[in-house]
Amino acid sequence: MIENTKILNLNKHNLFAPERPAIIKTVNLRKVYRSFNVETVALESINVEIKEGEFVSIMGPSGSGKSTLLNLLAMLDKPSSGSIAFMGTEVSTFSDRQMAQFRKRFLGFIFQNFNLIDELTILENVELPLQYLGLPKAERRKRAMEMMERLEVAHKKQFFPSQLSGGQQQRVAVARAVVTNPYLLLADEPTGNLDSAHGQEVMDILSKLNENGTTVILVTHSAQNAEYSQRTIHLFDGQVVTENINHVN
Amino acid sequence: MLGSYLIITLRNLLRHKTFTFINTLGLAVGIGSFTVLMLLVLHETTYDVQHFNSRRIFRVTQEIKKNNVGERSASLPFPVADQLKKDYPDLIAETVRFFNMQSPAIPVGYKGEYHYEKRFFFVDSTFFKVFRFYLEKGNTKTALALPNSLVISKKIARKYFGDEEPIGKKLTIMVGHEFTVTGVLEESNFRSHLEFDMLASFHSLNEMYKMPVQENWIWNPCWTYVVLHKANMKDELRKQLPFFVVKYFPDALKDFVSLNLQAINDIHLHSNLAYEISINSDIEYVHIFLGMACFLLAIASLNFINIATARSSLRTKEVLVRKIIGANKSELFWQFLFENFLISLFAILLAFVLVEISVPFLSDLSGNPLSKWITNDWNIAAWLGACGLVIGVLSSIYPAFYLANFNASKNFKSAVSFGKSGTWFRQGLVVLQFMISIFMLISTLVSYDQLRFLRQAKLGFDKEQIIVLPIAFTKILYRYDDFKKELLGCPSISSITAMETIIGREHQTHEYAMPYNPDEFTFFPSILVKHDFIKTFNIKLLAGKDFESIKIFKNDGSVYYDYPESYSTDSLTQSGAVIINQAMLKHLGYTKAQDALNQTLISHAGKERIIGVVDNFHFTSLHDTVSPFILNLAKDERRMRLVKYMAVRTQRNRTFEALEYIARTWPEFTAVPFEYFFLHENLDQLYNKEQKLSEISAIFAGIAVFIATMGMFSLTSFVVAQRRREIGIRKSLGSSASALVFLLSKDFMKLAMLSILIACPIAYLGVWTWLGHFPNHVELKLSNFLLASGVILGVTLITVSLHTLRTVLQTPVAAINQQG
Repeated sequence: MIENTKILNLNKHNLFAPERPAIIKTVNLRKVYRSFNVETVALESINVEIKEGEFVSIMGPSGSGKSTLLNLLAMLDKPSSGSIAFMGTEVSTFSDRQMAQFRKRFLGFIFQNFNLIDELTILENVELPLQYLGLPKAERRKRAMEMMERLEVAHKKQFFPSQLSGGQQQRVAVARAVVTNPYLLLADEPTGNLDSAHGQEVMDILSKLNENGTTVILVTHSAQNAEYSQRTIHLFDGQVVTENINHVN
Repeated sequence: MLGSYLIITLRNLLRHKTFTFINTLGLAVGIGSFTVLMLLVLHETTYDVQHFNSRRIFRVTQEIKKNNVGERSASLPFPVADQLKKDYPDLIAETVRFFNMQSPAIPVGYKGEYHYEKRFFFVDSTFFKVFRFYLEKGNTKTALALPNSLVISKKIARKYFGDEEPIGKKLTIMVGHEFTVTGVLEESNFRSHLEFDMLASFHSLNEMYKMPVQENWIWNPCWTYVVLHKANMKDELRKQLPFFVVKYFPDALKDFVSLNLQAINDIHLHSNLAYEISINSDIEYVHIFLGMACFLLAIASLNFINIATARSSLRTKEVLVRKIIGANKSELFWQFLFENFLISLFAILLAFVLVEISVPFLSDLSGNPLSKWITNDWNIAAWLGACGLVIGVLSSIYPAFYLANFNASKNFKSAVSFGKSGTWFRQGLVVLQFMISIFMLISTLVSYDQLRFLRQAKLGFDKEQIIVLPIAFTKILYRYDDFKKELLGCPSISSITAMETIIGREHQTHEYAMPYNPDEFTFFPSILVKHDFIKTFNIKLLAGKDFESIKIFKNDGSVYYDYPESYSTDSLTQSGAVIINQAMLKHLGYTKAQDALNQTLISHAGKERIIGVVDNFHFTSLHDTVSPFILNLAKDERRMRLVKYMAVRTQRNRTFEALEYIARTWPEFTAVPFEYFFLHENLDQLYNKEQKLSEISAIFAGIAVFIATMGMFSLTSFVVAQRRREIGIRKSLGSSASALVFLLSKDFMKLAMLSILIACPIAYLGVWTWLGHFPNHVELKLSNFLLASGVILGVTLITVSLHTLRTVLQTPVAAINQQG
């Protein structure tokens, strides 16, 4: 992660310090979709601040704007107005190229339907983000194998995604998300396609990653999953309605 | 990274085998077709480029035009070459003449056995200095230096001498002239408009011709080539030519003659003169082949783009994941470019195999096998490689760009609709492909129509049931009447005549003057003929009569033929006879055919009385319009020597008996072997180029439809995949299979209809322009347009129905559960 510090002059802060800096902060975030002259407000006046090392859940009914907010926080989309600061750097005005650079260096993603590339083996899938970071092959392989061993999927390295169970696929997806040692891990309903046992397993992994210093933002319908987080942001009709503190590390 | 791209590409291609197959095959067929057509274009456009300093070699041509009649001739009078070189030594380095006795074939004998040789020329000894042909045996400097020397091809050497040494052997030319073989030509793969098997030294003519032909400035039988010191001296020489004409041509001619220069490289594609030394091609056909090549490449390319972009809808998840993980546009662009490029490489390999398989079956416009000219496979490989790489890269850019630009901000649910955004584009490509296919289909149908028209058009004479016997240089010329009488004894033969050239194919040009101005000669298209010409060819007589022979029955039952005295071969009146066509009648200023009868024209042989007027008939191919024409009776021995063919009309269905009879009778009159051909077959060959064009058009129009159909197939599968869920829902609500097939087919039929609506007017203009090049052409028929449209609609309906039916017949649950 030497490159990251060069770009943003960031250092992972001491998680036990009394006042942690915000890893991401939004001010008056607004997102409007337009089609056929119909304007749909997806998000309105969103002001959230997520501190380094936090584990935050975003909850809300369908259509409340959870995924839209996650897309904005993940730099997959640009807001209609308002600002998003990542570690103090305004990113809402970034170009596509800058956003892509940012994503690959600082963010990790986990999805409900795993989104592994079917044509790549498990090992190749986990290696992929490191490939885009330009790491040499040996280094990539070493780090991917280490991460797969930690997530107990190394023995399946030559398998294709379709040959794995849902729980195994999501472990691989987690391995791929964290293999770059990201600053922020974004998870969109990561247990939605898993049975309860496998779902709990994944939540335990996320919890462990958070304990090791990774900031986690979780979008979920499940109150049970939200309990793994320290704080829950509730959205309704595109607005933050409440924020609950679940527990403090 | 490249290794990773390669792995994922191969896995992807194997996973979607149908797409891969269609895409690779479509592109391979397109590249292969393009290569074949370009080889054909290359073949046609590289004639005579091999000669030393080919840019300095020009053919001198002659135009005689007076009162809007005359000729544009590829050949010149004998003395022109020498005189040009003598007068302009600063401009002209060398000259070469070709002369073939104005006979399409010359009898050549060895040890008493004769054959007709078609590619025989007398050439000047400078031949090997000017043209790049080599001798395998003999010396190029001396081989043609002495009279009665002969250079022959290896084929001829084998034909006459087998394995014997040909050098020094003697061959008898034209029954009675002995020539010694002094050289054997090296086999050459060069393309040249000069096609020959035997070259005799020009000096031999001094001994062979009693009359001083070499001093004759009117008769123009010599193809004359000049080599300039520098190519840019062409304009200077051209400026001098009018002065040269005035200085040397006879007074009666000099005001109406012009000489011109034709670059040797231009002859094969750009020359269409009378008396060409060989059958030339036409630049228009090269343009058509180029157009076809581009069309096929475009169709294959559009197909490739279409399938690649349709296929990209299956890659949305991968693109999204890669983008989210951090891949930027350029990385994705290169990845997908690499993938498509890899497919094009496979296609190139497959195209190479297809071309290799097809080359032995290909021939040029003249019917020569193309493989003869393709000396090695590197020619093909170079074309395939170059064109494949260009098409591969160009066709890959759009799909790669399309995929790389997919917006990562869309979530995965909306990603399903990703493919829809490009629907109009893909439909546009299919419309374009179909437009090209329809255009090519219509063009093919019209070209076949035109070919049929050319072959079946009413020529104004009856070409069926006619056997033509070449009689040039045979003793039959001197015993013509006896031979004719002998043949007429066969009941299967109904009429016989003879002629200077083949009617319907070519003509000569002879000088005639009006009686009121006997010194002012004009060159008119005409041929010398023998009695019963009008009767034999069944030409419509408007007034007067044929050069008749009268059938007399003797008391002993035998038949005897005689000729009316006024124009018989032993006429006492000193008057000849001519029959003119209607265009000539008009040219002479008569309105009624009757008025021209018994009027006289003056030829060098004396007075020629008009004894008949016939309706216009096509005395040359239908590529030309009908102009004034004179049929002149070959009444004396001098003229008889110019007659080269006998035409025998047989009774219907009795040709075989007639042929047997002629073959039996022939050896009694001449030692030259009996040869014959049917007039209708010979005239059909006039349209070989059109036939070749039709055949080539048909093949490549078929290929165009095939590729376009594959494009349609892939688009159908893409759309069906997209609408699978909708199909399931409709089916669960009670829709029948046929209603669903109709629902899905309807959109494609609309595309096909749109293609038809746009392509038909364009095709109409295209074929109308092409037909405009023919003075005689077929009328455009609606049926051709309907047929082409029907083919496209039918192919679309079958492709779409077959494809959709499979999905439609699935259970609704299976369809609903499959996410597009």
